[in-house]
Amino acid sequence: MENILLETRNLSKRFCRDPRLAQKYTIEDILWEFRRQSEQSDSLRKGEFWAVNNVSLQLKAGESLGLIGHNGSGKSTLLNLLIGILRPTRGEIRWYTDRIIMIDNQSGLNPVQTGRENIYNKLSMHGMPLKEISENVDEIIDHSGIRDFIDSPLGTYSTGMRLRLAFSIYTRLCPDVFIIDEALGGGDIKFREKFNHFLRNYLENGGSLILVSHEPIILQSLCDQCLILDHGKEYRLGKTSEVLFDYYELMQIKAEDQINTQLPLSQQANQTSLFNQQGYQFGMVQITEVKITPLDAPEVRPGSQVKFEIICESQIDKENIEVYILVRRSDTSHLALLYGGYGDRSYSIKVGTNHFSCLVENLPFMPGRYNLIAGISHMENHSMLGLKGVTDVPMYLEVKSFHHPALQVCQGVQTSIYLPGQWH
Amino acid sequence: MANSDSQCEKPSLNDSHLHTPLIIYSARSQLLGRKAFLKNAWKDLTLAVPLAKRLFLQNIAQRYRYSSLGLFWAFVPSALIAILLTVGQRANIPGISDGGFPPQVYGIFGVIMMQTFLESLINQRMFLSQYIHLLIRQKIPIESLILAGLGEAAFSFIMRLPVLIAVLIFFNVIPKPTALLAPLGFAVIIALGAGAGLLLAPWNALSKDVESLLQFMPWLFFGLTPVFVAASPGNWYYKMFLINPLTYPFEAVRSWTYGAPMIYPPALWLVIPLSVMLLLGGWLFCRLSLPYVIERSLN
Repeated sequence: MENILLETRNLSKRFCRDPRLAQKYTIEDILWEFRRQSEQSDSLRKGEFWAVNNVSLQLKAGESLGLIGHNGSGKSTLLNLLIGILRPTRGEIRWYTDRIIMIDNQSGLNPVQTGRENIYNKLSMHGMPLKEISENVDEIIDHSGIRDFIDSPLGTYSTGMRLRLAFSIYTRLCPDVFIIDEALGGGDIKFREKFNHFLRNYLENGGSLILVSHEPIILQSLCDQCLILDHGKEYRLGKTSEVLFDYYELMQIKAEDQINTQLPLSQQANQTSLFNQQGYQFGMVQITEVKITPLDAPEVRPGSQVKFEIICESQIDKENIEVYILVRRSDTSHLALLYGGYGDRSYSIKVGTNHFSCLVENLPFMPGRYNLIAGISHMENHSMLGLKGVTDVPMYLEVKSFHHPALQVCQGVQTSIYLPGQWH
Repeated sequence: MANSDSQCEKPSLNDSHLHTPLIIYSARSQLLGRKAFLKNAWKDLTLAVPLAKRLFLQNIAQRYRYSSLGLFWAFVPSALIAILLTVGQRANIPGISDGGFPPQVYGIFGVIMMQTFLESLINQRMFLSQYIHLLIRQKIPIESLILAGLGEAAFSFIMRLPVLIAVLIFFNVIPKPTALLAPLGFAVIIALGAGAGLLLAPWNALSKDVESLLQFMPWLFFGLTPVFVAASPGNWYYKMFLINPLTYPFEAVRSWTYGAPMIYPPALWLVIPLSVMLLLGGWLFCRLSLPYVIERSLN
């Protein structure tokens, strides 16, 4: 029982989607409280479903736990149960610390109040005396880097600014556990890196983390343990690297199910036109593979000639599309974008299998492992048709080292890119 | 980042810290362990004070931030009503007051007390719906929201005091030394309003029908309470006044301030504990219902 910070046992929560019944149940539940019973009824009432079902987990000091699952898998409900906003229908949550901070994508701040007011509110909400807050407030503002805007209402801030402020406030509170709900999605790259770096530091110093994210790569870079939720149930809990494979499998099964349960062609056409009207066609193109072929060497090396190919299955015909491959470092910062479909060059896609290829003459990457995301979108409004490498299996590009004097010097001075020039 | 993090002085995670859970959220009825429920409520109440202060100051500032006349508006409505009543009631309406005091004084005191009551009631009745967008995301002690509301009601009363004093001076009514007790009467009025508001707040947040229904309430209260018309035996509304707990603090304030007669003075000593119980009961009921109100707002 060493250093356990959080334990949940058979945690379950039922919800009702029918608003009328839900209202009735809410009144029943409030009145039930007065009957002073030890457990609510175990069964589902009419119209109810288990939003979280029998989840048991544990978080120790210094550990980080990732939560992943498709939309509606119960991640947010589980978080709301953990922080005590919702009451469990069954089971129990035990916290062995009260220094818990939750950051959601709204950053937990009040949009109507100014930045400065939010600093005071947040800190006093966590029990910091006013005098201490006044002593710290300048430092917090400097740390956030938004001094010029600190007396404007938070609603006028960008997501990044909001997060920056939240982040400076929460750092001051030194929690034992940070609960982060997709907050990393906002903010610019520089900020994301700063935040990632902060969280790693925080973990190294013995802090604990519960992180909800749709992006396996973020979980991989920050969490030791991962819990996959599927329809409110624990699908798998274990080491992140092992568990994520199961997640990819689960997502694959779901994608196949989706294809198998698709409508007959005649109805599909109707549905397509309906989607067209709304301009929403995401998922109409499935990128099945991204092929990387070195052309002048047995493997991909710095300076190689490399062919990138995107192979996809399309359910629609579409003119004027753009295709791209985004190359990211393992720490999720963006490194390069291979972008096709601009100016007078435009691509179109046809129903069935499509190939797009791109040739890079001198690959300017240093040896290492890079994460790839491939996408296909409309050119006019950039709305997406298909995406690979974000919520499914991550794709990697391995750039191997080889003996070359210029490359070795570059490695020696740790350059970010490799630029093979022609000297005369 | 490393620097700022190293400033944190984390308490060492010793054994005593670990073996007893500091927070337990379970499926048991919250009232099963009544002692624990009250203990947690008390703990949250003490923790809520600094935030309540902040919210109170901000709400007051926000209320007057966007008006060029600022705090002037805090007492202008009451002053206008006072002037209208004074000018409008040239003729003495029979039975409007008792004890030989100008009926205008009776009416103005009545209106200001009623305003204080209704503001306190509406403030608390609306607080869950008003702050639900924050409550569904963060664990905020609702006590701070309730206390801030009480503070605002008290502030409004203080801002109306000059109007009451001006009325007494204008009509040459000499206040009695017991006038110093009048704020106690106002406190009872605020507590009754807040208590009723808190009992209604969850229902108000749960159902639009209830919200619409409750908007009628002020009119009902005006009719059932001695605001303009004094209660004297023989009137058909006398019995109604008798069963309305608001009657007693209203009468007490008038009696303490300038010696207006009261119907049944001992009843006040029943109403004072009743108002405290109503306020505490309303608070605990909101605490109990909060997770369910949040659940409904999430779906």
